[in-house]
Amino acid sequence: MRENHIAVVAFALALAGLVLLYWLSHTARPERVSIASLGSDDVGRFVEVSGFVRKASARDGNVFIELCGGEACVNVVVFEGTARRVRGVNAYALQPGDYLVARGVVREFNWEIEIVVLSSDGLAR
Amino acid sequence: MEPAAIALGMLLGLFAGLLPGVHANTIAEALRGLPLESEFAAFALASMVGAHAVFELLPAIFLFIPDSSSVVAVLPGHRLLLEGKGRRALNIAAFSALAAVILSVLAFPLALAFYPVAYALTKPLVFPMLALLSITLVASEGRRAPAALLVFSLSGLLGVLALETPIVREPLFPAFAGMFACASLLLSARQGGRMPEQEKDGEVGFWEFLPFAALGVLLGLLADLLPAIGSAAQMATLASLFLFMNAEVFLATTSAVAVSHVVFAFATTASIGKARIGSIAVIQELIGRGGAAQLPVYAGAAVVAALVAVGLMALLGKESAEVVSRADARKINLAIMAYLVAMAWVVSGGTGLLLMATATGLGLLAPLLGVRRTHLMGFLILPTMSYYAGV
Repeated sequence: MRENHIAVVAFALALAGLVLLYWLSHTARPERVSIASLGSDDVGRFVEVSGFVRKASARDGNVFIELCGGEACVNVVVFEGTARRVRGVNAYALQPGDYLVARGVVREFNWEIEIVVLSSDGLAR
Repeated sequence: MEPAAIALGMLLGLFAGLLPGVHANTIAEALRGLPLESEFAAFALASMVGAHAVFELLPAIFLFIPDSSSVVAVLPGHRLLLEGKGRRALNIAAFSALAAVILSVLAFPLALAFYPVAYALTKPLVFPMLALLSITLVASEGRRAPAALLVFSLSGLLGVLALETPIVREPLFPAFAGMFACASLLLSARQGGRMPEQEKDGEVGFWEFLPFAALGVLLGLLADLLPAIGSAAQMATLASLFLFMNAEVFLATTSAVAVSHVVFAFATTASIGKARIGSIAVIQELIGRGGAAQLPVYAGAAVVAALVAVGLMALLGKESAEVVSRADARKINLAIMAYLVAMAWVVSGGTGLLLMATATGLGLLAPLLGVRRTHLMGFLILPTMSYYAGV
């Protein structure tokens, strides 16, 4: 195969992959789970949890929320870039007692499970 | 220090470094689950981090498989290997790593004082710096700038989709393996046959690369300052735009950046409380919040492990160069490709394979359009810019 033919195939492959990934990112729906059920096995999963804010603080522009449902709590992290563009909820103005829905990816940091919000619709009342 | 812990860390660093896809943070997690004393586990992790930084240069040079911090070392390493200078490439990387360890240790007290002051000043500058880097990177291609812009933009788009949406678990491995390893393997499969005979003499002069190792240490110091993903790789790319760098000089600089970045990550953790490496965050947790003052001791364990690793790498590298000379390139390529696909599946699942295929397309596109593969760094640069721009 000549080089320019391979370049066309490579370009088509990249473009098709990008379109597919874009489509996947727009159709991905979080799985609704309870805070109490979250564990190490869930790392990498896209989930939605809801509960009441126990603590909320901002450090270096990043927002750290302790969200509790029933007996269990989980840390929800909203990094600065996302926190500034979250729609519908002012991430910097959350107060203890606020009801919140958080959608994000489960990560493990410093041995603790946390949910990292990645998109502008990642927080809702 | 605990000699047994350091020896265990060395073994784990060797394992994680030589098997791309096995992330050092995964090992840190596994180690945490073992019934070990906190101090022992922390020393083992520290030495693993040091050894890993050195050993990961080996697959980057000989198998074209990068990890997130050795990602730019794979390019000059590959070029030198194909010129029959694999042994020399390895010696350059080993020398630079050694020089970087020593220079980073000397600069460590300075780094402890430097980070708290510089951190506050630098943050607002990250976006304009990255914007300038991107424009310079693309414009440096001259009349091929439109092709470079295409590769940079598509890579950036891929980075945004992979890093800022929840669709791919652990996206860095499949992305880098696709862009660099799979693309290189597919291109070299067209040439087929055997690897070129590797030159026996790969001696490296002391003064030949010391200035570039020192430059790498300076960049490593700055890389830990910028809270951006893959900043070690970005700093080396930045340097290559402003200084003339052939493959050997670039390899020397990037190796020094990768190693010094690890040593200085201990300094950022101790001085501004920012652990730039996941394993160091685990060490911090093991020794407790009040243990920041002890971090330089753990940095010492990482340094000892890195120094031993440099010696081992020089020995292993000699054998590797000989094995590569005798190897059937087609069989090796096939085996590496199978390994990468299997690891991408294990690490990131089906969407990881899709990401890897897309990244491979981009990795092929850059050389076929006649532009440098450094434009693929748009994958990291664009999402970082979007983060700082709040887009």
